[in-house]
Amino acid sequence: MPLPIRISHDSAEPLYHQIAQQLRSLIVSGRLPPGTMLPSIRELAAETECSVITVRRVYQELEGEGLVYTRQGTGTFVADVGAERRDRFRLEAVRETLVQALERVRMSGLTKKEIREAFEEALSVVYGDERSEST
Amino acid sequence: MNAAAELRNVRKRRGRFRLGPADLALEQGLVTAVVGPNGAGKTTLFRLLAGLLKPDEGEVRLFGTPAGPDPNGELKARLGYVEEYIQPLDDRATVGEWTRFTARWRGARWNEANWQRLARAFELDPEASWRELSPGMKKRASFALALAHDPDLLLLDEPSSGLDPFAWRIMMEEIRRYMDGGERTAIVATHVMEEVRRLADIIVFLYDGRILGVYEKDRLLEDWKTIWAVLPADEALLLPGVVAAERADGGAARIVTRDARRTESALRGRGAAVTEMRAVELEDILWHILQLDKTEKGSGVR
Repeated sequence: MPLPIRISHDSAEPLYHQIAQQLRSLIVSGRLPPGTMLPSIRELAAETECSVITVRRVYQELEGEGLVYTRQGTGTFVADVGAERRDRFRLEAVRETLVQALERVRMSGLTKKEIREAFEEALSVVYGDERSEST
Repeated sequence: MNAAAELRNVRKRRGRFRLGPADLALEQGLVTAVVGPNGAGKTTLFRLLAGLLKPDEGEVRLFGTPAGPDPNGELKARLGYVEEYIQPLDDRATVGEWTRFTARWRGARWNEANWQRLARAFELDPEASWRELSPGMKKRASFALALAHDPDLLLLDEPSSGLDPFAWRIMMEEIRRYMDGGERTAIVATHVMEEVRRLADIIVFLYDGRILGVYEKDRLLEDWKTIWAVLPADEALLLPGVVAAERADGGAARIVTRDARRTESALRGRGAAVTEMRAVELEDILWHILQLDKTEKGSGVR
């Protein structure tokens, strides 16, 4: 089954980074449960039209982070990421996504204040008006 | 790095055509795509690697050893070679007869189960005589025959020319499957950019018998970008990495760069707002590389 990973060449973000980021969020969100076998390096390379050099690097990086493990001769599997680490990863993933979005926003040339207002607006579009929400 | 095949300072003359001096290493586990205009020397390169041509100078190495005489066919057995045009010794033979001949010749490496699977996938008729096959069917059969013995190195010289889109899909899938374990190596000469996009890890650009460049595909796509930025086009041309710039709407310039990172930071440094960034298509990248080579050569002559 192909992974729902989409890469874009229309950005300055390195390909390995795009794939790693999306794979991380698939794992920490639980959409890929622990024990799930990941596609072979060549399969994921074909799915994303990236080179195996890039995908190999992604798997190595995620293995270093303890998100996946490799069983010699069998394949690469999703590791059991405990709840606490999952929360931390989730927060990191959100930050990262926001940073990337802001990189694109910067091209608009708007001021920080205008961007902050736009962000608040976008927030209420997605979450509705949850002003009473406690922090 | 573990090279499945290597050219070291290889030169080859064939009539008026000269290849080299060429240095190239095909790393194990990778698919290398060889692209370049007609007459660039792709087939000469492949025939050198397959041991069908001897270099005039330099050395061809296969699996870490010099590709010398191969009396027992041990080296050949590790190769799978699909030539642009294949012709059995006797084209009255049927596909089945030619398969049995190939199987005997491959000896212990022949993988009958794999052959059966490939023959089914490509819908080959063992009763059909070779001479009656359409060019596309010949191509299917040759590809299947080159792959059936699980070679360590697959040499595909324009494997898809003459293939219908259905057979093409199967071929792409079979190459992917062949490469799956990560131990095997393939080199593919092609004019079809879709094949490069889908298959290649490394791109070798061959032009007029010279290797213009060896690139990691992903690096090439990351480095080359089209950027729209607010500054005059003639100023954009002077920035690092920029290979082309023209006026676009709203006082902006449309810039093609081969080093997006450096160009972007130079633009930032001079306060030119970047309004948009896009990928450059592979065929356009190669076209630009060729133009750069021509202008560099041109200025060298002067």
